[in-house]
Amino acid sequence: MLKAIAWTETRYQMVVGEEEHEDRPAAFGMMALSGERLTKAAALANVTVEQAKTDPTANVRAGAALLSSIATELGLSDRASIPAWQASVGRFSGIEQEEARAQYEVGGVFGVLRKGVGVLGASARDMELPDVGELSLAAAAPDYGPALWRPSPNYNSRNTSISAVIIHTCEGAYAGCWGWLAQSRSGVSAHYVVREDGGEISQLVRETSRAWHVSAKYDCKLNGNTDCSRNGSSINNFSIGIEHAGFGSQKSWPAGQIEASARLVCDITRDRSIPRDRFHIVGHGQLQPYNRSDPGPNWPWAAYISRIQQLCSTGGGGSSSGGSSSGGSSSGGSSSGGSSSGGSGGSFSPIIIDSNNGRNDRARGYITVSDSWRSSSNVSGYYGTGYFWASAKNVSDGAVFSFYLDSDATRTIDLQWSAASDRASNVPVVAVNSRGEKLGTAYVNQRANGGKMNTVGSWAFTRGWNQVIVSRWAESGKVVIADGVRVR
Amino acid sequence: MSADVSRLRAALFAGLALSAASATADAGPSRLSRTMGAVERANISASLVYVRDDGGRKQVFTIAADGSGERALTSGAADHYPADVTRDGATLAVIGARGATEADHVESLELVDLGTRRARPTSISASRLRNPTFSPDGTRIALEADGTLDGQPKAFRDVFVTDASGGHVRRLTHDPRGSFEPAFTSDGAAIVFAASDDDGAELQRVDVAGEGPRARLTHAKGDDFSARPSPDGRRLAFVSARTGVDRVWLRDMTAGEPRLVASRGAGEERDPSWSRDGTKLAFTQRTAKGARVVVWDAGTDQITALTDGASTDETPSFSPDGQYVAYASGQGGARDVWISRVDGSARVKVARAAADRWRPLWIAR
Repeated sequence: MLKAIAWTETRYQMVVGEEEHEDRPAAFGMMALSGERLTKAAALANVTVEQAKTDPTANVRAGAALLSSIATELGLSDRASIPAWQASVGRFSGIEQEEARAQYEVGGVFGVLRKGVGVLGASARDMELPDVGELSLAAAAPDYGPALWRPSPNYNSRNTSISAVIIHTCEGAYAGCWGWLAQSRSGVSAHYVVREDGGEISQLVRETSRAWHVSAKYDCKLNGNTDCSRNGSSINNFSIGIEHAGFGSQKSWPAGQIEASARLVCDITRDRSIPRDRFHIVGHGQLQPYNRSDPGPNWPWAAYISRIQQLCSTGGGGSSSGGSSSGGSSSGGSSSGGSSSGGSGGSFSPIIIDSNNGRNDRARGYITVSDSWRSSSNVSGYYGTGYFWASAKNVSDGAVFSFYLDSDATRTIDLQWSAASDRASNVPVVAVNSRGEKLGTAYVNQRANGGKMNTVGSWAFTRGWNQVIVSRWAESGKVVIADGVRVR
Repeated sequence: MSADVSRLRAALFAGLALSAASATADAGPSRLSRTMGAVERANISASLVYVRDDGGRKQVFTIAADGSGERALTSGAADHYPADVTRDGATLAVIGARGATEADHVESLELVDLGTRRARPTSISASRLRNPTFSPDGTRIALEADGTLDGQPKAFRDVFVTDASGGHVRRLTHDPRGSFEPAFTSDGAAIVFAASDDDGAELQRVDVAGEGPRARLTHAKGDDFSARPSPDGRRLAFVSARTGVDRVWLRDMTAGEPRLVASRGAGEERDPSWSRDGTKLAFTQRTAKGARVVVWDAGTDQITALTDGASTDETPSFSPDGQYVAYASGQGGARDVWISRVDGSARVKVARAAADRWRPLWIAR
């Protein structure tokens, strides 16, 4: 039972907790003892608080003494019966929220026992484990399909757009974490909590609402009544907060948890148009100008961000099939296209094809359009000297950007346009290899993201003259723009 | 268990250092000694600044290289962090972070006159203010801040330039997705920074005058960041995740493909920092147990490890004469500031009294 509790709480790690949430004291050791529970447990086991925090034996003994005293309080008569311990284990967790406590007991400690983790020998395997029933099934979450909806009352509205994702660690186990954040007494919340093994995610607050995941409310009185006007700049206003079950001090993070979190963040950043890099996906500790160990000692940042980028990479080609290589998080995912697509790692220098052939190196790339495409420079944000436009129509009359490759290679295509409200939002961009075979189609929204190269996709092109075709087969009543293409 | 091992190592090392110190005390910069004598340390014509955390507010302290004269440079109800020092050692840029909580806190630029040891506030203040850095001639400061700096609260973070006293603020970028970590080129005419793009962060360059076009310096999947132009103007060091792991890369300042600095080693790398003459680059390499500080020599293209990586040693900084590297080390459990000879032949903890010290920077004196 003690091993099962220790596994549920900390995966047998001697954790040194941090106070992640106000009013929720830091937890220590394999048994994750904290606050008054720690003090009481140490006294019961006749060890000092310091020993109970740092010495593994003292920590487990203290946890055992606390569990025993709870069992006495609850009048447990048959200590030899494993199922009879359920209520004591629940109270030991310190979790007040009922469903979360049930999850700790059933999905946590007794689930661990069922799997055989923590069972010492063959005789113990024959123990009759409690039939504790099924957990009530939470509804699907509103913003992320795979998550469960466990609403927290601790949120309010926000009127700013979302531009960052903040990564937190629970400083505790999963059930206690979401259970705490879901009750009004805590006064804190997060949008999501990711379980240790990544097998379950809880959503507590809608993404469009403002969760209270970054510390408490700003009190300008505490700051000499200065800068009170800055109340509107809280990080909570513009960020999504994700808690991860576990401890900042743990030596490594389970691959399943990192993968589940990366999939969640890919979904969030895609829906909310948040750039996927380490300036927008940041650790809680990085909210200080400089922190002690940037960006945190053991969270696999590079692999994590790479994985999010890989999962969310746009367009066709092989890039979306990279999921199968996700076995371990520690090695990270290098880009899926093989060495030839490594961008600046190889000798290939990018080809840029302008809509003005006067600016193109005809040996490497050029544009061809029919007479129905008209030249313009009315709307700024174009590449070079101007662009072609044509009204959207279901006709095969695309603007063809041709480019030459001297060997077969996977290349990424970027497209630039000048954005305006009269543009189509679903302009097809078709990739064709030198044999005339269609490689794939991606769609771009030309009402937004003008003035820069936007990645369309990566495809396996072939030696010779390949084509990227901007099609007119788009939203009727709107126009499509052929401006600049970059091959890299 | 690893804590026990590192404690044991620390105890062994301390014993070794002690016996070596007693044998070679005041022997001068002998390359044979494993530690540095008082004379050698007193002869280093530079001192250090760093963060000291005594449990309350974090403050910036200074200390001589021989461990004498530790004193606070900042005080009051704000956390203070050292950001950059002018080349002549006259002025230290500090970020002060105020507010009782992490939410809504205000970050301000303060300048410390290292002659009088007085800190003075500037008018530069924002809810996020990062990476202030001096131009090589000390006449300008580049920094990264959100739009609360100039009344555009919807902006994420952009690059700004001010004069040496924090006046005449000028916005250099206006990127909805953000621009970060500005660093001056050696002639002070341009700034290299990281900007968010579809494939992660990429490095770009912009003229300080703000007139010319922006040049994109990297095109890679994965983040490119922590740009550090070499003081001799020849190279650009940066960290890139293009291989799936954060590694330190180099490219010619003007053109060419980047290359990995360390051909071996699989661990993450960070904190690149140049010597003043641009011939050496120090950075941090992660190890199984922590992180070590290494130095790359441009002349030999060789890497020298200054520490063994049994603990977490990070944020290296070269002394003005290029002979020593200061860094924060977790050796022995508590974090403290250490200095090593650049050839790795000796190292020493700077302060005698125990305290939590980190992020060291050298100042010329």
